[in-house]
Amino acid sequence: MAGHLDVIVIGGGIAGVAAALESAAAGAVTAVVRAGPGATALASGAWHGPLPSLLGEALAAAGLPHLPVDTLLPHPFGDLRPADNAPATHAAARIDEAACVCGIAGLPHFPAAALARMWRAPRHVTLALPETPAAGWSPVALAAALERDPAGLIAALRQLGAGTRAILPAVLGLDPLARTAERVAAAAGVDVAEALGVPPSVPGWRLDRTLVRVLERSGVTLLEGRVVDRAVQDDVVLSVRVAVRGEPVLRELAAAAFVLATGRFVGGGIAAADGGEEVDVARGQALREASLVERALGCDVWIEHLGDRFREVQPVPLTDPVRAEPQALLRAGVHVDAAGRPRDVQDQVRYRNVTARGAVVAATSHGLGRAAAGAAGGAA
Amino acid sequence: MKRRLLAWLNLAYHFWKHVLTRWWLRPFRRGRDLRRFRAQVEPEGYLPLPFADRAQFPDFMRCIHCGLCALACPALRAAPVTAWVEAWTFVAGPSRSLDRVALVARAAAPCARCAVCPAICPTGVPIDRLAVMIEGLAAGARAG
Repeated sequence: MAGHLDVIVIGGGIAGVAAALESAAAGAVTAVVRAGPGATALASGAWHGPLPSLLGEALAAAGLPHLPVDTLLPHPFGDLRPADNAPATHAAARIDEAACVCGIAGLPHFPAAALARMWRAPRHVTLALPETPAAGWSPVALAAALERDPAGLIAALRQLGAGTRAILPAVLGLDPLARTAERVAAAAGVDVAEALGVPPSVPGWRLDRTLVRVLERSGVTLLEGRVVDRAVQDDVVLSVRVAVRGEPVLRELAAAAFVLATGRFVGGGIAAADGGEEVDVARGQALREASLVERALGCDVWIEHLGDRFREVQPVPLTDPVRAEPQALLRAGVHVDAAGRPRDVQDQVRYRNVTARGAVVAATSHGLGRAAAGAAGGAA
Repeated sequence: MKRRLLAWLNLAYHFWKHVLTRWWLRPFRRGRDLRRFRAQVEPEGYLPLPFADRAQFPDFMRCIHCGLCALACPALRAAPVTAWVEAWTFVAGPSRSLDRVALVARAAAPCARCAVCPAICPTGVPIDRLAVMIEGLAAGARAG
């Protein structure tokens, strides 16, 4: 491991990789500490908000180009969803006269007839592949099988006739570098597009694998591990201690600046506290310990609807029973100033050399299943 | 009066037979009682769980159905298999019914215990321990 680092990015999802690319492009020696796939790997394929140009170019170079979307994208829940960008196979999934919704026999949760009705597609068909397993396909097993040998699917798609746009479930290969969709389209003589994905999300997995490739190609050091401790002096983080996977001893990594991009709940950036209590001696009453903690750097977690009270003596409802209402819990996170630096309970900057990015920041509304542009704000 | 006396004698005979035989033979017959119990409940799909296995269930219940374990699995990528091979479908489902255990154990045969999936699980479900437990349950179901 190189001794000197300028920037350490904690978190390797979209926000973390975007920050690392900016930092590396600015000439800083950068490392990314990544615990594993997070919420990015569960993304549906639709991208909301602007795609940072550096990240967009890097994704394209690594085999997963994102295109601007000028239509609503079909989602397997039965609705059509707006998106700003999407990988080419999803961006092509326009529902018009040429569209034919193609279910696959044995693959659950993609009922072609019902989806065609809800998406208002003129045609639907259920394709039968050879060698369907007795208990049916899972999307992952099917994507792996099609990546290896798409001949069965190609033969079935040929029956649709030229000029058709086949809207398939998101199972055309696990690895974007295998170019399964292009191979299938060329051999079958029809246009091929994929609907968005739901967990276990093949589009999310492709995005996550591609982000790792982007880091490898951009000269950023990638460490698989979790930040467990930090050394702080005068609101400056000097170093972090990282439990690298497979190494028995913690590594101490020092840098001039840190980016906190650990995500929210699924990413593991924000977690429930152990439930300890602390006592406010001056007022002689038990003060409820903050119920949520930021795990990597110990920043205070801000809950939006508490406003300036920040930490409340009485327990407060974090969820609304009406699902459509805004849920305070889903907007909890690290409170930042205009420069993206985390603020503490007293509204003071907690660490002067830390910038928070992505879903770990309070009140960013994107979350599970949504690749988003929280990555775009702030500077590394 | 005579029938009443016979009834009492009959009752006394069965009481003493129980005290003299079943009661002190009980430690030696425990296995047979357990077999009788299992013969009653297993056709219904219930499996007796040891305490140590039961204590692991809160860990398994942390599953959020994200399916990352399936996406990361090298064995799953190598060979097309049924949906039941994936750890999360078992964790998420009604995981103790007998037919399901046998199905999963059979389908999970390609699992190489490579420990990729517990490392990748965002909520830290110990999927490798789950695989061992499923195998044990399936073996127990076959033996019993």
